[in-house]
Order: sequence, then structure tokens, then C-alpha cells
Amino acid sequence: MNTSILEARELSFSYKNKQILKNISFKLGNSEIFSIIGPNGAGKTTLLNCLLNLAKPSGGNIFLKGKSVYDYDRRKFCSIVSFVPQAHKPVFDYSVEEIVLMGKNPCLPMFSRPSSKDREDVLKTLDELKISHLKGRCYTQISGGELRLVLIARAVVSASQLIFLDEPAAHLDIKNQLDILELLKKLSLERKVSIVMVVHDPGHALTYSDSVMLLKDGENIAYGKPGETITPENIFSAYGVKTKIADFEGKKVVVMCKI
Amino acid sequence: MKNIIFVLSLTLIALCIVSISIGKYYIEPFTLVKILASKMVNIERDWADQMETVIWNIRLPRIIGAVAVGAGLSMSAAILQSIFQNPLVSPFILGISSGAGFGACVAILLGTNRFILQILVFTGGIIAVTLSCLLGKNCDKNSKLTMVLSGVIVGGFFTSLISALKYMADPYAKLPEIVFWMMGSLAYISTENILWILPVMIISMGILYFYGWKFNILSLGDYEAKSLGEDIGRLKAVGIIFTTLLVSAAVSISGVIGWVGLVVANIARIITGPDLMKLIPVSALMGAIYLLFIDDLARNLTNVEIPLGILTSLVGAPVFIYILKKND
Repeated sequence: MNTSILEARELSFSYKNKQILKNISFKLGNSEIFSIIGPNGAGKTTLLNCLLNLAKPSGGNIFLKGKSVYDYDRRKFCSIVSFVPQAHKPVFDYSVEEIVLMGKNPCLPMFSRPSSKDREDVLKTLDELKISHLKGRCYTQISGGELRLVLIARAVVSASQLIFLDEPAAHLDIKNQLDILELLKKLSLERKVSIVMVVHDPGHALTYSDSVMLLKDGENIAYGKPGETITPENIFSAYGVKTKIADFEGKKVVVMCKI
Repeated sequence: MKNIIFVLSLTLIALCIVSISIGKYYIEPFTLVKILASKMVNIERDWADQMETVIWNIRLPRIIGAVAVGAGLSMSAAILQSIFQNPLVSPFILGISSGAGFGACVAILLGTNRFILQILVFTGGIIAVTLSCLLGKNCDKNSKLTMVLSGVIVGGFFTSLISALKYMADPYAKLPEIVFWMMGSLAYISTENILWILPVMIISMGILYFYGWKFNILSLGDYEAKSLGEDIGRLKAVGIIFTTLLVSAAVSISGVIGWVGLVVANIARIITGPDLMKLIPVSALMGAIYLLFIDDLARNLTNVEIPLGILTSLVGAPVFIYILKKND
């Protein structure tokens, strides 16, 4: 009866007596894309960390497949949920293949190591994401767009049903931004993966998601279908920026005006 | 990869044979092989008894010691570097060696038996590494040098404690032993020592190797390791405890030899890449070769034996500067 893969109920988070998240609730169905959008410092990353069980909320609960995330053990949790961080500066120069293989970690108990089947899986995924040519390269020496793809491949290899992404389009050129977002769309349609992503571009939220939440100062100021959430009024109350939503060949686009 | 291990193993075996032959009492390689083989097959004895004594009681324990200590220090460094995501750390840099050395000095002063000595050495090492971790954790996490600095502080602390012990020690009976210990030497390794310590080292090495792939996950940083489902606290504890056990076992037979692990682990990583499944065996083999070679120099270069620690520091310090520059 419960078809939602992820549900947050009345989630709050405080840090040093400052409330960062206030009563956040939402529901995410299978193979849906959910975007979290809002100004810098609105609490988007904190929300993501709470959902990933990397930060403990001060109130409320999160349910993964109908069961509280705090009742999962870490390994089991991570074999359902995986995370694509914003690119960081890695210390050691692993090859792309080795990095993606690490996605298998949640399925591997202590003392074990990846099997040859795990390695085949990695090669297949690299192929599917059209980045097999990168497999021998150092992941410290590939471009930002390629790195993002590699990290997504790692999340996919985890056999995850739910992928979290922290600003998947950040620091990428427009072609790479579109490639990444189209890939996410494809994953959700073909592999039935549900996706939660923090985005900055209202246009991306509008075009690529099934539901959107607009956060400001830790509060949910709008939540629902993208067309109902990304409106000039809502955007103005969150950012103080005037926008118009225009129809362009049947697609909705966000046009930014002056303040 | 298999080729690298094969070549390194061959080199190590050849170097072992050379190392047994050379020294103040030269033994011809051919005679040496005959003596070694005589343990297994019946060969007519046409060599002096003295030769056999030199091989079995002096050279062989020392060579096995050099191989075990070199391998242990190097693979520990490789693993610690992954755990701390920092190619600048090593058992020596983190203060483990000094802490373990302090434990050994206490044991020497008290005149304890081997078992108690081993426990004191291990305790000293664990206390030192724990202090370094706590210090490093409370400071800027993003700087690689913070961890190094914490280790230096802890190492300095234990070194001054050791100085205090030296000051109190009996200058005729205990002091020379302590001083020699702190400089690091393989000269006092006996068969009994080796038999006592080798099982501890081999078991620690085995456990660390089996966890090797998991330590790779830690090298991505706490945040990513957690999001890959790893119980990082437990895994780090396993890594630190067994590397400390391995290092303290090494320290208890060789004293404090610095600048081995750091140098070898970084050079090995250039060859294999950071994956510990390859890096652990290669750094262990390279460490064994390196320390055995340095020890050959220490005992053959001049008429008197040079303390090993002096030679390893002479090579290690410039390499450390190189790694520092490369990581900037």
C-alpha cells in the first residue's frame, strides 16, 4: 500500500541552537526525480545529509521503503541509497575503474573484496554510461564533466534504488550540464531509479523533475509539481529575483529579469 | 602486476643470499648454498663449523629480521597513509615508533622479560598514535601538515620522556642499551627474538592484507566512506591497532628505525597506484629489499658498524622533501 520509496515527516535540524531545517515533509515515489532548490544557506545540503543519515535531525523521521532509516544498518542502507558528492579534490590517484568498483562496497562484508563478477558489472556500467574509454585513466586527471559521470557510475554500480546528488550540474559547461541531467532522466526511466538532487538552476528543476521543493531559511515555502512550485511569485519570495516563465516551443523556460 | 611481484621476489632472494655471504667473515656463495642445502639433503661436510655458526646464529636471524622489519614498516606506512588520506604520514611520523621506543626503554630500565617488553612497546605505540589522532582531529582537517605536526609534537613528547629515562638510567648497565635501541639496529637480533616476534608480525600482516580493499574506501575520506556504507570508526580502529602491533613488534627487535616506511610506501605507490591490494605486497617486498640493503651497508661499509637509523634518515629526509613538494 505504501508505494513511496522515501518519505520525510516533520524533519527539523538544529545546530548550536540555530534552527536550520523546520518541519520538512515530502514523499517520493518510485523512479521519480525530486529536486531541492533554494538560495545559498537555505539548508539544502543539511537536508541532504539528514536524508542520507549522515547528520542526525533534531526532530521528525525519515522512512525508506516504509521503514525508519534509523532502523537500517549502515551497509543495508547504502545498498539501497547511494550518493554522488560534489567533486572534491582526491588525495590518491585511483583509476576510474577502481573508483567505480568502490561502489560495490555496501554489498561486501568485512574481509571480502570485489569478485570478478563485480568487475564485470563495473565495465558494463561504464559502457552503459559511455565512459568505458576512461576506465584506465587517473580520476584526478579527467575533466569535471567526466568526473561527475564517473561518480554517477559509482552510484549506479551500488545497485541503488535511490540516488542522491549534490548539485550534479555545478561547475559544468552547458553541454555537460544537459548530458548529466539527461542521463539522470534516462536512469530514472530505464532503471527505475529514484533521484533526489539539490539544484541551483530553476530551469533544471522545472524541466527534469517530477516534484520540487523550494527552501528558504530552512523552511519549505513551496512543494509540489514543478509547474506549480517554480512560479515567478515563489522564486521572488525565495530569492528576491524577478522572473518570467515563458513558453518556448511547448517547453517551459525560466527567464531571469532584473531585480 | 604479477611481473613486478615476481621480479621483486627474485631480487629479494638474491639479495638474501648475497647478504648471508658478505660480512667480516666472508662465506663463498657456493659453500653457502651447500650449507643451507645440508639441512635438507645429505652433503659431505667440507666447510668449517664456524661457518655454520655464523650463518645459523648470526647472519640468518639478522637477515630475516631485516626483511620482516622492512616489510612491516613499509606496509604499515602504506596503510596508514590511506587511512589518514595523507601520503606524508608513516609510523615514525605519527609518533608510533617513538611511543613504542619509550615503552621499550621502560622495559629495559625495569629489566622485564620479553613478554612484558612486548606489551609495553605496544602500549607505548598505541598511546602515541591515539594522541596524534586526537591532536590532529581538533585542528584544521583540510591541511595535510596538521597531522604531520601533531605526530611531530607527540614524537617530541615521547623523545623527551626517553631522554628523562636516559638521565635516570645506570650509565654502565642500562644507558648504552637504551642509546643503541633508539638509534635503531639489527645487530642484536637473535634466533630466539625472531621466533618470538615473527608470528605476531605475520598474523598482523595477514589481517591487514585481508582488510586491504576496505582500507581503500577509507582513503576517499570520512564523508564518502560513510556514504559508501562503511563503518569507518571500526575499520579505522582495526587498521590502526594492527599497524601499531606490527610496528611495535618491529621496534621490539630493531629499535627505532625512522624514514623507512614513508620512503618505500611513496615509491611503491608510484609503481602500483594507490590500490592497497597491489600496494601492500609491493611495498612489503620493496621495504624488505630496502632495509636489507641498508643493513648490508651498515655492517660492511666501514670497519665498525654504523647504526641503521643514521643511514635511513640520510636517505629518507631528501625523499620526504620531494614528496612534500610533489603534494603541494
